[in-house]
Amino acid sequence: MLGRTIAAEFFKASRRWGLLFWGFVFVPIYSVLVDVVLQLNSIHLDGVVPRIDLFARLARALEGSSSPIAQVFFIVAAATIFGGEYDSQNWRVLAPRARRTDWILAKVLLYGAGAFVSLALMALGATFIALLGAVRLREPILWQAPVDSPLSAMVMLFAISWLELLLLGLTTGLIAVVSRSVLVGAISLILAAFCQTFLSSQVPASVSSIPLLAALPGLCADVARFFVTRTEISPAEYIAARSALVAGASLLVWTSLTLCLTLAWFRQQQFNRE
Amino acid sequence: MPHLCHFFLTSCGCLINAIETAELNKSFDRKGVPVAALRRFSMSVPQGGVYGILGQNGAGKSTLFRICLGLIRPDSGSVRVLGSAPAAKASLCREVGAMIESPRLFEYLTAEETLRMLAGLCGRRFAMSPGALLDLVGLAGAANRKVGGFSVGMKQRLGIAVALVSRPKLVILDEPTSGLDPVGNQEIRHLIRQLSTRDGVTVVLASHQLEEVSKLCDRVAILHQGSLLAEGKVTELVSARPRLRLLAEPIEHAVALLGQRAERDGEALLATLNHEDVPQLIASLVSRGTKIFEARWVSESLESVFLKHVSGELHARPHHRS
Repeated sequence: MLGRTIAAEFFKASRRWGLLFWGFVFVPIYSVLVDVVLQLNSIHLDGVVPRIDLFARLARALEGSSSPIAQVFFIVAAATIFGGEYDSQNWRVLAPRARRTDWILAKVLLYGAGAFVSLALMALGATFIALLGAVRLREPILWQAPVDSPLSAMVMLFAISWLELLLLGLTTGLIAVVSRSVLVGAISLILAAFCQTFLSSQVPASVSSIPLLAALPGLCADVARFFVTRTEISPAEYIAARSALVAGASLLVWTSLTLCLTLAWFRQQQFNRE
Repeated sequence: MPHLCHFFLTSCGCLINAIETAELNKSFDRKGVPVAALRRFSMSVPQGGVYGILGQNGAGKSTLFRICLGLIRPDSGSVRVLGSAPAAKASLCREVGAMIESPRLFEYLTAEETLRMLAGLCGRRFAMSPGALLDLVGLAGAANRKVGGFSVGMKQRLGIAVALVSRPKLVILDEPTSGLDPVGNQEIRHLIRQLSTRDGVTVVLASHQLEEVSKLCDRVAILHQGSLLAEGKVTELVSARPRLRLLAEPIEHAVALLGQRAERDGEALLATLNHEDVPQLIASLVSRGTKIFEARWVSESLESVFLKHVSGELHARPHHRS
């Protein structure tokens, strides 16, 4: 039954080009274009030929998904996926045809797949720009990963960014489901994302305060990413593995909690109006 | 032996009602004031045939349908649809098809895509093919058009197709012919009749068009402010008291003869009489020099039955919803 619900959800999304483009494709295209412009101007700005470190570029590209501007697009996509059925009053057609849990899980999967594709496009774009730069500047491509296993570091970076986007989407979804509105879901999360970015910017990424990490999921992603991408371990910049673990665990707990809350709310929701 | 028959019939689903509610209560909170949508509502809709639910706006028809589909939960009481509680049985979603209020469909999908997507949800081996369904509701020519560009009538037809996509045993239709032109109206009525007689589908429909209901339904229930006022076969409800319609001049002679048994209906009289009393009445009137222009038996229309029940209830319970 879940399989059929997922198929239906993906089928509907496949006919919504606007949602797919603005939600999951625009941000990678935008980041590639920004990268191209920066690369073209990089020599002229500081007069030195930049090193082309693919790991650093990939890390920066993935980190780009957590910028508040990029997050606006993911928030709007999530609000449309989770709240669209309320605005168009489609639940009266859909809800009796499958279990409610299946509908939410299918939507989570759709958003998760979209975020995954978006991050993959960002990584591909960064790789492409690095190759382009290497050809243009006739410089070798470096791969200066801070850890012994660069591939696992990259996988971890990807997972952290994906988890951060998933949490963002789930929180938007929860608000959209509770308020039965795309607009309320989108606007409240956009405001929350900007506030969180501001608060996180006031705290160094080397923070090890567990309550602070638990309270700011966005900061958790930054701390975890900082831990994976750290290059120079000076005493001041050293992040205890414990902080990174807490950050990762906090992200997972937040994600699970929002998913459970959305499922619980949606299961008991009454459709006397959608 | 009767126990054995009962066991056999229950096992094969013959004795299971399409819808069965018991002491159903549901109220909504409107601006802090609880408003009862259903009040101790008990009814049984047998399997087979077309069942009409009549009621004014706010009578509780849509609330009843939404409870049957598991869209809302009752405050108390129980409801069983084809023998199961709504949303308790996974297969119920393909055994029950519904169109609640005005159909809200996916504006960005074409008619064919809408049906294909919904057919996939109930399992393609159970579903009707989108082409056949669109043909059935007269939308074959619009299969590849986006639903967003459909007229109200076309959306209504597609809504009915959506209700039928899983080859359901029970179809719930809320105002199925609203927004349709007279020809479309007749086509949908014919389709509903066909579903019931040819395919053995139980159709439960709500409508404000009492003429349509009396033509289409085998049984009806009259709802008023969340309560069941009357229920029964249409033929029994409308022909319970056939009356003699008498058009005569001067009418006062007839009034004097019939007394309490007659009531005015415009220029005519409607008299409650036995068949055998009619010749004597006519003879008496003729002997008094009364000119008789018309004397015929008339049955009550469903509309008059409905109005009688509803207005009676309004007088009995004027402040009922507060």
